[in-house]
Amino acid sequence: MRIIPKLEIKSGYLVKGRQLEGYRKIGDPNLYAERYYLEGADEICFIDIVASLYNRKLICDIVKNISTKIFVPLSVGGGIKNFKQIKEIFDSGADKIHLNSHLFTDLNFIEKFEKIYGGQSISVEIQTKLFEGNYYCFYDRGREFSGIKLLDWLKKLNSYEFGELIITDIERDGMKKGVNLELIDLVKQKIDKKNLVYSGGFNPNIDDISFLKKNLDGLMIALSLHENLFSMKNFSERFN
Amino acid sequence: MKKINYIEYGVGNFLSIKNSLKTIDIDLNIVDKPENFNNELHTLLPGVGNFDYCMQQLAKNNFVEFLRDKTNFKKNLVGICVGMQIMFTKSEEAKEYPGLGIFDGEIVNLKNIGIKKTPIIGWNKIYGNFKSYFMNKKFYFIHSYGNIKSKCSISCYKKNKTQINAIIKKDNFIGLQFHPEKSGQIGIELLNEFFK
Repeated sequence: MRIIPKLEIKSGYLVKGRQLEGYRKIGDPNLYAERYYLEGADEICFIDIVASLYNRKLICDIVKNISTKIFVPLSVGGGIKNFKQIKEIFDSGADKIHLNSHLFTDLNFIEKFEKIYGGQSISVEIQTKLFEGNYYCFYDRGREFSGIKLLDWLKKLNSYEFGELIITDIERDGMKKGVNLELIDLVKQKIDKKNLVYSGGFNPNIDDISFLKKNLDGLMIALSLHENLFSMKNFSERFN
Repeated sequence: MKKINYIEYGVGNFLSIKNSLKTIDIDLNIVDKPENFNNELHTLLPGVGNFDYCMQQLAKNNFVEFLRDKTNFKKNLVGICVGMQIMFTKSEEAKEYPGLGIFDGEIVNLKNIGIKKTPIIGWNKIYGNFKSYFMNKKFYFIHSYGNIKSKCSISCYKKNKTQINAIIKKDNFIGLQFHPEKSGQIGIELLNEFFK
C-alpha cells in the first residue's frame, strides 16, 4: 500500500479543512513536501482547492519547484477540465492527474485523456457521503450534489481504462476519526480490478495499518502527517 | 558539466528526467532529429503512454531507422518504461507498429499473465543472479504491459507470483521497466551507473 501525503493548496499555502470546508493555513507546501519525501512518501499529491486561473499558475509553480528536489511520483488535482490545463500540469513535472468534477459533465473525457497520455496517468476521484441511507457522489470539493448514487457511478466507471480510483469520504476528511472501512468494503465489492486509494480521516491511533494494507493499494494522509501524528518511515512501500 | 543525448520525440516527462540528472551533474543534449545526435555520449530514450503512439512519434521525427542501426551507438542506450518496451520486437498493445527490435521478444498484456490489477503501480524490489548494489532495492513501477521472457533479462520483480522483467541488457543496450527518475535517490544512483 502506497502512502501518499495529500497537500491541499490555497493561494500558494498548504491548508487543511474539515469535511472539505473551512480551510486554515498550515504553512509552506515546499517545506512539507520535501520533509515527506525524505520521510519515505511513496508519492505526493497536490490539490488545488480553489481551482481558479490564478491559483492554477501557483500550483504549477509549486510543482515545478518541488520536482527539482523530489524524485517520487507527483499527482495534481482540483478543477481540471481541459487539455490545455493538463499539458501545463504535466509540463510542470507532474506524473498523474486527478479527475472528478468535470466527469459529471463529460465522462468520456477519461477516454480522450487515455488516448493521449495513457490510462496510467489518470486518477479518478470520487467524493462521497451518506445521504438518506445511500452513498452519493459530490463534486467541487464536496459542495455540489450530483444526485448520482456511488454504486451507479462505479458501475459506469468500470468500463473505462484509468490508473486508479481515489475514494474520498467527505465527512471524515480532516476529522482524524479513522478511515471508513464500510465504504472501502462497499467499493471493493463493486470494482475489484482497479487500484484503490482511500482518503479521509486516517488516524494511526485508531486505524490498523496492516489491515488497510490488505485492502488498499494506496492511502492518502493529510492532517495526521501535518500534525506529526504519523511517521511514514516504517510503513511506506519505498522504505519497507 | 557532463552530457548525455536525450531523444526528444514529444513523449515522456522531460522535466523529471532533466531534474533528476541535474542532481548528479548531467546535462541533456536534446536530440530532436538524428542530425543532433552525438555518438561520443550515452543516450536516454524516454517513453510513456501507448506503444503505438511512441512508435508513431519516433517515425514522425525520423528516428526509427536511426535507432534500429546499432552501429550508431558506441556508448550506452538506455530506454525507460515504454522507451524500454519499444526496444523489443513487438507488443500486444500495438495494433499498427512493430518495435525497434533491439531486444528479441515480446511485450505482453499483464492482465493475460495473472496480474490481478493493472496498471501495476508502486515500489517493488528487483532481483538478479549477480552481485550488485542495486539488487534487492526498490524502484517505482507503473505499467500495464511488460516483458516476461527475454534472454537478455538481468533483473526482474515479482507480482502476484508472476515474474516480470525489470532490467534488460544486451551489450550497451539497456532497458528499464521502472522509472529511475521517480525512484528516489537509488534511481538516480542507477542512472549515474549507466551514464558513467
